[in-house]
Amino acid sequence: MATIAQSQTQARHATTPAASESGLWSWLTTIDHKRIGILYGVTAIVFLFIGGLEAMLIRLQLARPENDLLSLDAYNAIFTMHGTTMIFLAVMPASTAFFNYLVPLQIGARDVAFPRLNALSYWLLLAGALILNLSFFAGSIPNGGWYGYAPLTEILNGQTDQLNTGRNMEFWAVGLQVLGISSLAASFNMIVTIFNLRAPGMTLMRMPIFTWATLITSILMVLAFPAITVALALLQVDRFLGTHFYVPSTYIDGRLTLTGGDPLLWQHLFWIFGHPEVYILILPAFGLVSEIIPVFSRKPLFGYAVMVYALAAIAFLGFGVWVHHMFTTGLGPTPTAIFSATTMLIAIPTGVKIFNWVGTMWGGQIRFSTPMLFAVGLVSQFTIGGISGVMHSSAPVDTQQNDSYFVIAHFHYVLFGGSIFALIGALYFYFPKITGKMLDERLGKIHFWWTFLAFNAAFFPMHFLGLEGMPRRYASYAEGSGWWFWNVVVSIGSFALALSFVLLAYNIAKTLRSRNKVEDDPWDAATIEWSIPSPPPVYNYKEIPTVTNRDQFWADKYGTGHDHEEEDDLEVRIAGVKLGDVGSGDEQPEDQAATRRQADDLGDVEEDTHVHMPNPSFWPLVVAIGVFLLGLGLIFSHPRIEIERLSLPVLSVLGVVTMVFGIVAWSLEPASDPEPHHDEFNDGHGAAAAPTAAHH
Amino acid sequence: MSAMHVESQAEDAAHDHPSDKVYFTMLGILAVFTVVELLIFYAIESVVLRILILATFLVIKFVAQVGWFTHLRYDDRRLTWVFGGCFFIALAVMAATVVMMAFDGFHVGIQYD
Amino acid sequence: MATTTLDVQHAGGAVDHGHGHGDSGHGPTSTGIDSKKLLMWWFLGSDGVLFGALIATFMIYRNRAQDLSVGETVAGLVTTGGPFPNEILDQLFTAVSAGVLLFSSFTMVLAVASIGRGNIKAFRVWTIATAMLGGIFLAGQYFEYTEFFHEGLSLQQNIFGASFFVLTGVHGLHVFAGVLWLLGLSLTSFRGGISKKDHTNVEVAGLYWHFIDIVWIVLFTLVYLLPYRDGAHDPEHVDGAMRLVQAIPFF
Repeated sequence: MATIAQSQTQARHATTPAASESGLWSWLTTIDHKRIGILYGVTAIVFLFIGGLEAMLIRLQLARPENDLLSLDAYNAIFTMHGTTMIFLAVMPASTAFFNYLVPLQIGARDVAFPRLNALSYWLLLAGALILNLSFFAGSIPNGGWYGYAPLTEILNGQTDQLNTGRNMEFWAVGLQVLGISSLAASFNMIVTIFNLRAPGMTLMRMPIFTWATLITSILMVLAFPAITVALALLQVDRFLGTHFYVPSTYIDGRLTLTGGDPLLWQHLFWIFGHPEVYILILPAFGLVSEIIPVFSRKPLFGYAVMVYALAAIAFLGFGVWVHHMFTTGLGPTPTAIFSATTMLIAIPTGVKIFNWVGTMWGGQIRFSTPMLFAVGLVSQFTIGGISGVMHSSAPVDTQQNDSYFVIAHFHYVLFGGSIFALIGALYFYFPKITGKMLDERLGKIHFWWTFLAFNAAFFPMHFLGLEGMPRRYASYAEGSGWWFWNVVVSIGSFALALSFVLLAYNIAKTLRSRNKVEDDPWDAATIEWSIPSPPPVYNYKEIPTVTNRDQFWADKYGTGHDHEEEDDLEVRIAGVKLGDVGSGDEQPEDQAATRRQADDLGDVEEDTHVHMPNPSFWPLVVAIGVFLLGLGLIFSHPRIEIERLSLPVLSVLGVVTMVFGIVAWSLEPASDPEPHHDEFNDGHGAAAAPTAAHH
Repeated sequence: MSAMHVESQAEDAAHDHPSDKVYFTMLGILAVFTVVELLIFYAIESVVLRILILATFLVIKFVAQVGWFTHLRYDDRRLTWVFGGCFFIALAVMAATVVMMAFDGFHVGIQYD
Repeated sequence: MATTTLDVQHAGGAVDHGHGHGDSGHGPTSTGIDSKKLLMWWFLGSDGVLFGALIATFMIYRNRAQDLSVGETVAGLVTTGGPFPNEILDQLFTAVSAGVLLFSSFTMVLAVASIGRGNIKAFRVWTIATAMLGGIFLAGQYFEYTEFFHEGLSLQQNIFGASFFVLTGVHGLHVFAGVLWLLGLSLTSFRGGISKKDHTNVEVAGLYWHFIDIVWIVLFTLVYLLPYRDGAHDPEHVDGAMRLVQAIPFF
């Protein structure tokens, strides 16, 4: 066993710990999961503000009837970019930020399984985000909606008055393609990390629930993203090379020709991705809330196992419901009936989660700190979004509400009232972990109530507007439509909501500037990431912890209830039973002994200087720059759009060369110790892999 | 035969490796199947029969490749679950799409001149 | 502990495999499965969805160009013309190509087995052979594409051409990437950079290569062997069995 453990040794001695390094270069070359997590987080916040500005433009436009603040084209562009930005550049990166920062800490690992791949994921995200947003400067902003329905996105020969003869959708398609690769790489990494780098004793059913949410979300991404990759690839082939995958008829040689293409294919492929995508947005939020509520209720998560099964059930069923986005396309009664039924089924595991959160709070000693307020905010607001969602599973109701503001209300309750509430709550919760400083609680509480009220003012009236028939995506409405009043309310609410984010930004800035350090475990939290210093050292755990219990840190602090000690008022109970007595995954003493032995075999670190951490690497950034240039090249050297073609294929070639150079240099770069250990169990667990159990 | 032998070994330890003989056998089987497929294509008139036989052959060749050449047969059982799970979801979703698109799709609604 | 016995078995051969099914931190990884190998299997699962979507697109469109060609105009519109699959596909030629790819899977397993035994020379031979067979397959595909272009089937000609070229083209790109990967491995071995301990790196490349072959097995049946309807067929003159099959639009 000891031999096997030694095989993990790789990379250099961290005699100068990277934590003390700073400056631009260290951030550009970092492969530390915590720094990459921070990069993801900062990026998400920046794009949240950009997406928010776009939302403000939409609300300004709709604040009075027949407004001409935005032209019709500009309005199309702005709502497209608002949706795309919020989904792909704000909420998903924010979730990924927490995946990156928390998962290795929660499973007791020193980094993710493939740290350089992790860096590449981030730089590709930035590349995709830049490509999408450079469209503003190129003056051809994506304008086909975030769902990009064909044939709105197509170049149709001989029909000059139509939407997309410009490069608008090129930016969108190429940008999303790059973002897709980024998400895929990140999720492969997370899956392998969670399966393979768990600390001794951390069985699957002892993992913190957020780690479970990460695992399930990553599996969803792995299986959902290829569908949009294909959908976008076919769109690009259509646009670049003049095929007709999504175009039923067009002018060929001056004659209107039936091509056989079918716009419905786009909808199928897009929603096969798109529906799992909405779970990709919400499941991490569920995970975060499931971490926060137990801590502030001072009780273990109620029904842990059922929560895990519910996550898995939502994910699995999520692949069988995509057609409910297409009820009005006339697929016939059989598909409609089947997909109505599967959609209703999803309400069951989701309802289970809601009840389990309530069950966790029931009888607990609840502290309403800011994270808890936001978590409870999710439970209430997501329930509203969930109820309006399950309404749509009924095809007749859906037909009535399809493409109206009711749908907008629904998914903002799910996405904002769900995902964003949880992400903000988690920001308050983990801020002391990440920075060692506590966000101002008083400001935080004001922030919560402000957000909560503004959010409801901004989105609840949309239900009424939708039921009154106001269609979504329209740039204006008539004076006598009767929609003015609620639109004004919505606009005022949105601006108030925008201000709440200014308050959050102020709170963050104020806290970062202050010198008030907080203790390592300010919330009296349950899981092991709080057992190490805040912010964590670059190697995370000096000694890889041994896990014997689901809420390991509580068990360490207060005992598991098996040994009758430390009976004080902090004792953790579920309905009168102490933590650990009811299926909380703690093991018998003999198992504990065995687990401890394994931990010894894996080898603990004696001194900081002996922890091996992988080298920083520049090559992920180089590869991402290559992809970025290639993406721009594909956009600007479009064979079917009249443009200044001369110098532009150069960009693609340059991109490919940079990318290939980066990949080759990457694979030649020694990620491992210059003097590898010559034992035959050194099986190349990953030249790029992390030292799970660094040993000396 | 050698395949059978290795199979029984694999029951004992899921991490055993087949001998080169097994690979030769598998190559032979797969090659023969491909030739027979081609013969079926040219020889069998009945479309229904052709489809049935081809589908059977496809499944056999697929399983043979995944099970033996990728060692899944001899590898950790959980890897079979990973690939099998992904494959199941891909197959179910895409088959449903094809059925929906094809049955209620384009040519049914077209009025031929 | 059960692990000990397994370790002994591994001493002579592959060393990358698991150490029992416990979840609790045996061996190098929690599952005992090598991280690269686990990554590759998830990647293949994901790539399976990618090909699933492409194959679905192809199945939806495989007879559509023929169905459109029943008259000069359909619903008052002109239609895209031939060539149609029954006029253009060469099953014999593609069967040979499929055989080449099949054989390359065989040389690939031998390459993996060689590196497992520490036989670098044999590894080199089999890896280069695999890459060359992949190259022959690609050459065959190039030849097939040029033939089709000559006969008038282009990406833009009809929806069959579009879906055929995109589906087989994406597969071809996968083969191309695999060839580069294998050449990279053999180059590394010439520089002395590959030894028995790199067994997993080779095995992972092997998994990818076999997957490409598996995809081609599926494509060969669905694209080349499954019957197509003829262009401009007359619905009055099909026999009973054919009528039954034609109720299923994608056959």
